[in-house]
Amino acid sequence: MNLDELVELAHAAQPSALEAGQARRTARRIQREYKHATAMGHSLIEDLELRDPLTIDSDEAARITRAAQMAKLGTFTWTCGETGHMSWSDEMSMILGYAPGAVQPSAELLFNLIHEEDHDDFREAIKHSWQQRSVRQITCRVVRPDGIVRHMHCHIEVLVTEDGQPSGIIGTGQDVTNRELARREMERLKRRCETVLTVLADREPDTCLLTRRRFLDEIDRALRAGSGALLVLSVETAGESHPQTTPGGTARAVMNEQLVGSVAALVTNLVSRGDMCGRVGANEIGVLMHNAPTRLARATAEAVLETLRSQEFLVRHSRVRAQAWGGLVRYSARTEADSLDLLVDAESAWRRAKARGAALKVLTEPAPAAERRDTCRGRILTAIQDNRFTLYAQPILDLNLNQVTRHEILLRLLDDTNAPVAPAGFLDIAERVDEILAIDMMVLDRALLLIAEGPETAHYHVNLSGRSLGDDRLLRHVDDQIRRLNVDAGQLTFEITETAVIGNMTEARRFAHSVRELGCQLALDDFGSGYGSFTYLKYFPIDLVKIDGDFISKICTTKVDQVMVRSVVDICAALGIRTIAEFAEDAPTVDLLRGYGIEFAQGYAIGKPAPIAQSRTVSSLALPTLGERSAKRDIPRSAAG
Amino acid sequence: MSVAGVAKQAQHYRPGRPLGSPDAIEAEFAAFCERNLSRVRNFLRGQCRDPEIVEDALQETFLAAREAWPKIREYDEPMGWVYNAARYKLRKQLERARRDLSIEDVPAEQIVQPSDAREAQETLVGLLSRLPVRQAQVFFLATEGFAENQIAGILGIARNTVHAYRYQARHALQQLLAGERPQTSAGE
Repeated sequence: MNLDELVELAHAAQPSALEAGQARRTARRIQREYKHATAMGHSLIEDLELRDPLTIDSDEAARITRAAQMAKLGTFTWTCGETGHMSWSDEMSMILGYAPGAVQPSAELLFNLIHEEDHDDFREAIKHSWQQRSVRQITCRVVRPDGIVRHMHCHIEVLVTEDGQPSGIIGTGQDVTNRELARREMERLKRRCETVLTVLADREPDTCLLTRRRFLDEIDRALRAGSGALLVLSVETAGESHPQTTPGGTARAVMNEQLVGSVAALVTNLVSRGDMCGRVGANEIGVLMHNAPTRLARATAEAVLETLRSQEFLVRHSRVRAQAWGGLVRYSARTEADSLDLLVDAESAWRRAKARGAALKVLTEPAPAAERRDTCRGRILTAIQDNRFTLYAQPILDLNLNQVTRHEILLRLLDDTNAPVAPAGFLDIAERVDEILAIDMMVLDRALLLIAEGPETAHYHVNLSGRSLGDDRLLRHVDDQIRRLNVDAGQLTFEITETAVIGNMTEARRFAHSVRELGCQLALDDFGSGYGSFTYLKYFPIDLVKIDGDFISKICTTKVDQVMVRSVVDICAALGIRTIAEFAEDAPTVDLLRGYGIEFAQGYAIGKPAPIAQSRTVSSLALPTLGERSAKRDIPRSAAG
Repeated sequence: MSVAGVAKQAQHYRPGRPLGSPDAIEAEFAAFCERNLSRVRNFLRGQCRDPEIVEDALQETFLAAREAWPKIREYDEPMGWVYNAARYKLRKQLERARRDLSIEDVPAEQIVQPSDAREAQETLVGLLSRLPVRQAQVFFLATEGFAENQIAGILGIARNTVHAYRYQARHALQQLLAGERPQTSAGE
């Protein structure tokens, strides 16, 4: 059906009986209301003209101006002739910011009042309207004499004389500032709804447990209000512990990971609904029982442990039993300990239970600070003495050369079953009791050895704790080692986190400049995720920025990430800072990153972290007094890279 | 006398005739109102998709027409005045509701082939409501049989403009009928 047929058919429409009835009722209602209004003395047409709009008015400009006035719109009329004559209505005068009659209208004044950036469009609209003998509409800004900017919407029409000759143009304008603001706000809200990611990545994808960091937040929140108990469960597959089952114990780590997954599901079901479960360590699950009285918390802990110990779990296609220990610590409003303290106490408690052959150890209050400190020191020194560290290296791809040119050295801790695990919790504690320097130094020594033994093109990244930055011993030590081993300092990059920089800006800057003097490079790790700001890029001699994996892992499908990463790359490029993207997990991501001009990529798409071969030289090398290995703040997920 | 009877009698009145009794005037207006209510409603619906606002503006329009009736009944075609009034009343209702025609997002609709006159009317109103308001007004009034200079008078715009809008509206409606999204023309 074409348009004419449609119009014709529509015109033949007759009201149905129902509609006719409705029309009659409406007509009666209108009569009633009219009588009521007249009785009250109201006029219903005071805002209207009575003249017949169908009578032909030879003066178009006057007619349109009149209509505009009734609609509270302003008009300007620009007639042609020898000189051309500009006039505008009172309403228009007010839109332009002048009291009616205050200025002599002129085309020049009008154009001057239009915002500079809208000038061309406004002029174009008038010109086009005139040339095409047609109507144009435009929204432009008016800059009033007092400097205030308003948005004006204008219809620009061509006037004709009675015999059809164009005689000028008329603009009908309206102050649409409020409407314009509302429109922009709607657009902004729409865009914001599309771009804001409502789900904070605060749970582990596989176990649905809160991440360690978020779980610590929850403990802190609980500590501020009321009392309760924190339970930390440690699980491992039963059976004789397999010292060095495989080189590096990787198989064991996979088994434990699967076990923790199954245990997590079970524990989440067993505890009360309000309790929170988090992944606090490689083989540890934390349960925060806020407001639970001691007896209930203890009963819950016992029930959970009983179930875990009696149940079989499916791990690597076979049924296994789990060994489990629990440490329970009570807290109350009087507790002075913070979340990490409480976690350390609960961890120490399950270790004590394990040492005594019990399932559960309950602490009715957090340990005294001194005692806790000693316990932590002891754990760290034991780990160092027993050499319970191992180093992994993850390749970094140069996206321009399409070649792996660097490696990041990652620290792994051997757990009680000799499986290598990410040492996030361990490093937290080491930082807390100021034992992190020994660990950082150990990793540095290993990296320098790798450089000394490897090709000159090799380049290693080493993570440093914020604590170590402020210690002069670290750089002195590095300086000594560089000379002793005769290595090129340019083959080493230090990665520091934004959080570390925040800790002490002065120290961090001094460190950064010293690193430069040594000839090493400096990278800012996890950029964009912490409390970082562009300040660091401005004041720190950073060579490289590592964009946090949270912006990279889903970048192919997430517009927000794309926008942010692109702008970080732009900023860095302009400042002479190189960029690395971590968590590059597939080929399309790598292609996208390369397209953005990012220089390096790291992640599963490039290569997983792999154990560094323990060369004879390395293992036999005398390490500095403080100990053994070292480095990365990586949280469980970045076991993924 | 029944209402229907009054209405029937009222049809014998012709504009321009001398006024009769107040009852006769009332009857004459009632008949006018009944005849034209749905036309004005469709005019308004072509510009505004909110039925409540349309009904309020419709009522205000006819209340005003009732008051003006002694005068406008003498016009050759009182509907010119009524459409003009409807335009202002709709504007007022929209202001009161703090709404703006141009902000609303009109979702695309599937166009169903109308099988009778009523459906055709609904289709047409639906299509008009997707045009820029001034184009919809011009096209609607043109289908009501008004000449371009009359439409210019009713809408308070230039004759030239009516001509341009009429063409633009036609073009856009044809595109909509063909299932295309009309491109916003430079004029509107």
